[in-house]
Amino acid sequence: MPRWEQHTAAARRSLFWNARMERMPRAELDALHLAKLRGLVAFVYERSPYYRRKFDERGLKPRHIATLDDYKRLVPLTDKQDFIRLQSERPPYGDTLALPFDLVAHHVETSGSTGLPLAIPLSAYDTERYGESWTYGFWAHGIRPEDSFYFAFNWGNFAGFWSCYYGARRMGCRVISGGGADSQGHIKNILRLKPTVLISTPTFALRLATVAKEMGVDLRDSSIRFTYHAGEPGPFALPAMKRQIDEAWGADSGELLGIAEIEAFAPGCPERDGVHVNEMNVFAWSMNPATGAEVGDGEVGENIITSYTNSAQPLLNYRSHDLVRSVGGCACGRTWRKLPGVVLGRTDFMVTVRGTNVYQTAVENLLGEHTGVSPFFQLVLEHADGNDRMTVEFEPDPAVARADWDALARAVGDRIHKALHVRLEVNPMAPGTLPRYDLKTKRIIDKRPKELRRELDR
Amino acid sequence: MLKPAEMIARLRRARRLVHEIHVGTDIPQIQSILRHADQNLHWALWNLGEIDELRPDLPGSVKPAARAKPKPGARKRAKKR
Ligand SMILES: [Zn+2]
Repeated sequence: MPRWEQHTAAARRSLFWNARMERMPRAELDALHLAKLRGLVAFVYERSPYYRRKFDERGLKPRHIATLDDYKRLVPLTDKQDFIRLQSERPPYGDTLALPFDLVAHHVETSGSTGLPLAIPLSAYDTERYGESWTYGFWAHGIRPEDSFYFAFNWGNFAGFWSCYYGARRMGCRVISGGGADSQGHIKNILRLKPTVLISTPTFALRLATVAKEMGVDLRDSSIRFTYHAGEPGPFALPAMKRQIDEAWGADSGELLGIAEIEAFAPGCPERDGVHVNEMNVFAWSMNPATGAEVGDGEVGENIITSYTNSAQPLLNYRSHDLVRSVGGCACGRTWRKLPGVVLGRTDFMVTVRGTNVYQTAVENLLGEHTGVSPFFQLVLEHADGNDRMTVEFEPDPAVARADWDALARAVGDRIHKALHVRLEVNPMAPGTLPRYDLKTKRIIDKRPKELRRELDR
Repeated sequence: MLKPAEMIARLRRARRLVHEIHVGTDIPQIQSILRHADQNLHWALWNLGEIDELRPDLPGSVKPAARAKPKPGARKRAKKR
């Protein structure tokens, strides 16, 4: 008797992890959202002292939420800083917990890249749901249960790829931890254990490629067929990054947008130019960060997210500070809202230089595409003579002769000027002098005095 | 192939069965496994767009079996409500 396979032949042929839900008409999706949001609001009002207080301050009762507009308008915005403050007043979770303590099955944290880490309690069910967001992306990318995952990642409390691990388990893939290995160790592990999927931050994938080259290893001949990335702008945000990773690994790179405390909420689109909001797991809308009003379809706004996943520390109308352009409809057939280019910038790093709004990713894209510019660069923000100033510091590719650095810097400056209509100072730095990061590459060095930053930038 | 409504009815029945066994045993291991099973059944219902409650352990999550077919009049009344 044949064994009971995980998927039938017809299921394997599906281009979707769950076609019915991923292609659900908008009106039906919205009706589902409303039902779920009303359930969530009742849940937090009853179980979370934090939300009960916030609602009571406004005289808001769960029964007041009758439409999606009510939800967006009436349910107060939440922000990371509130949660960090409450947690530090009464560690570990303050009164943000909505479940009894004994149901917290996994404690993770944010990376703390913008200060104190945020503690993220997850129930066992939360971890499974969180992982499912990755699985939608894996399946769409062509990854199947017989694939195996290599995590080039040091496992700590950082939420990062834990959720990815939950997702790989859901799909039933072999998983291999690269915890504790250095770059050379990762390369050796990959050659020895023959995984087919690499999981890492995008810049770390490039760094591994550089190290492999030094070791005389051509990764295009390795077992890796897919790479999948999160944590910083990746292949679906930056076309240059996509090209570099694909070429270095001889594989198809993919990307997912997640926010540690929320969800791995936006798996990649097979068109490879953006991500889709997982509308089974979260509800998202876009807001003008200055006025608080909802922005229209296709306009840039701050992504405001509500998670159905995290029942231990629910997040409602949570400010992501990510600027996105959310559109309906996609050539891939998904109805889930798409974010072309993933995150276009941060509300905190949309700086105005000489009257022009400059988004970090726009500059990154231009640098990444420029011949002779290595993946190591940073943008330094300063305040001088009453104006914000952005300086680009980059390491030229080691192949570029020292005598050509200044001409290269001028060419980069001209390119930025032409594309973004702003002239930035561009300085070449000696190769190896800019900092390297295993996680979360820091592209912005903000040296502006706090009091001179706009309210959103503080 | 089963229609979504047929899948949903069977998943609900499975949850009732799982719940029945859970309260009918005092073996901790079996109870833990069943709780996990119920979580997955709840998740399947959620991903068929059938469920809007956040957790399977909320009171009333496991719905009692539907009685015999309601009379046409009773159905109308339920809809109005
Ligand atoms: Zn798509």
